[in-house]
Amino acid sequence: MKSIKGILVVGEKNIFGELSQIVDIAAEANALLEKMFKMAPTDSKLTEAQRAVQTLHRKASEVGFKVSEDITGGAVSPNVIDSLLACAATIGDVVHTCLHISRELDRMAIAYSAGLEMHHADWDPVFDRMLELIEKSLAKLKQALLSSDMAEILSLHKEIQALEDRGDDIKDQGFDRLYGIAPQLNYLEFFHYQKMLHNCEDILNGCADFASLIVSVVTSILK
Amino acid sequence: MTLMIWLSTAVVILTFAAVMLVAGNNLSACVGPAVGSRIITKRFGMLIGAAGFSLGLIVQGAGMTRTVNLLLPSGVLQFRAEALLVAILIFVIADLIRAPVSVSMSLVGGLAGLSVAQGAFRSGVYVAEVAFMWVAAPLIAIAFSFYLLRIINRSKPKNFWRRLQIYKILLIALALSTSYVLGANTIGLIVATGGFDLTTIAVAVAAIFVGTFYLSAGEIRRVSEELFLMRYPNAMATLLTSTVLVEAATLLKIPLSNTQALASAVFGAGLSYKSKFVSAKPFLLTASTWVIAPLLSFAIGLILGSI
Repeated sequence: MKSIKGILVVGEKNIFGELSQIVDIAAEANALLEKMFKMAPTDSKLTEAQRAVQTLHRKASEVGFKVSEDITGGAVSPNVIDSLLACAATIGDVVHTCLHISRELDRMAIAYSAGLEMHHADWDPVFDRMLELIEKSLAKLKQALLSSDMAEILSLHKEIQALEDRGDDIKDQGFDRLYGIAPQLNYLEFFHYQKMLHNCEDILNGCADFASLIVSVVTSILK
Repeated sequence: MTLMIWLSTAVVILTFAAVMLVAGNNLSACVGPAVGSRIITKRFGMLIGAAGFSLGLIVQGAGMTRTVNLLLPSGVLQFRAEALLVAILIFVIADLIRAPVSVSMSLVGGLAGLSVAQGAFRSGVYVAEVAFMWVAAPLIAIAFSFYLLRIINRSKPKNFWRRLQIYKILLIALALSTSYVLGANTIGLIVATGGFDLTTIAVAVAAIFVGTFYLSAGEIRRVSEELFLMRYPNAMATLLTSTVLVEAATLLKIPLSNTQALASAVFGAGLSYKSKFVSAKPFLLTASTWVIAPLLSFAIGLILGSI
């Protein structure tokens, strides 16, 4: 009976559905980051939000573990097992990077509270734009995971790549600005902004890699 | 009288052994893609294979008696036993040196050799037909799977998950049909060599289940995990090609090796891609056994028949 039911199951489709849950978690974490960037370093909600991201990360790890188990033990073609596992790892890394950013924001707030002199340069537009690109990328990733049309997936893949390119430009502009105001910053602040820029770019790169893996999986099972 | 009883018993035992070996060895080629793709479990695959072999043997297997009647007109029990023994020995030796050898090719070669040795050979035209089929079948299989895959890959499905589901269902149907045609052709030929009657059919069905469930485990794991890491369309095209060709041969009452059709179809599938990922060497090595096995069996049959 189990075997007969298995015939009707498209394991790869189920795995994509499970992966979209992690994308949802990443989108939630990203929304929290947007709020955190807008909070003052002294805001007590900053730590609260950081804990919420941590909880989301834990949830993503649990879903990721289950997905990996389903990939290796389910009705999935051996040809795409490696790519699907890479998908799970990549989107897991995206959530993990969100956690890194939230921790960094929280830690920096501790430093400011401890008396570190703040050289406030208006970074909000830079990170707003970055997080907006991440939000768009994640939405498109989810759309790709739930799509059944190859042409749509290819088009979404291109759009996600374009978002990554835009993120790259914003990061470069951010670094130009960072180096321009470097004399006014202390080491910790410089390191902080540098890390933020790199992490945001890493998330966009992860989204683009994930999109490429989706295309690879679909192509492998169809051709 | 006692000798006749001994020979009859020997033929039944040899039929059992040959069918058991063929069922155990060929199951992986029939259900390997479906098991390897994890659409069905190994046990369910074994059940499909055994059911297909048995059904093919019962429904169409009798057609292969023509081959035995034409190649071994005298139908002497001793020759039947010798032909089966030669086929089993060649199969076992080939298996030990890990060379893929077709039992149906060995049987045809052995039967022809025995017949020639006895001076009873009158089927030159039929042998020519068989030889033509053995040359044509791989070429047709290569071309068929090549163009089939080109057509499949050219079409763009609106809903690829639906297509994937169709592939999976088709792979199971093809696992059954490939097993069916193997039962009708190769196993049918073995049973026809042993004498196609209720006793040998019952013994063969028992041998099918024993071979499938007790001899195929290692082979099916190896084939499904190593050789059949194929994409769904490739596996589907190769099994379909093999089914069509072997069934056509069965309808023409000509023995055709299932693995010959399958290996050629795999080769054709590999060629159908713009970036070729086919290594010609193993294919040519396999193809060389299609010439060596029947000739070797013919020579052994000739020697045995002359003693």
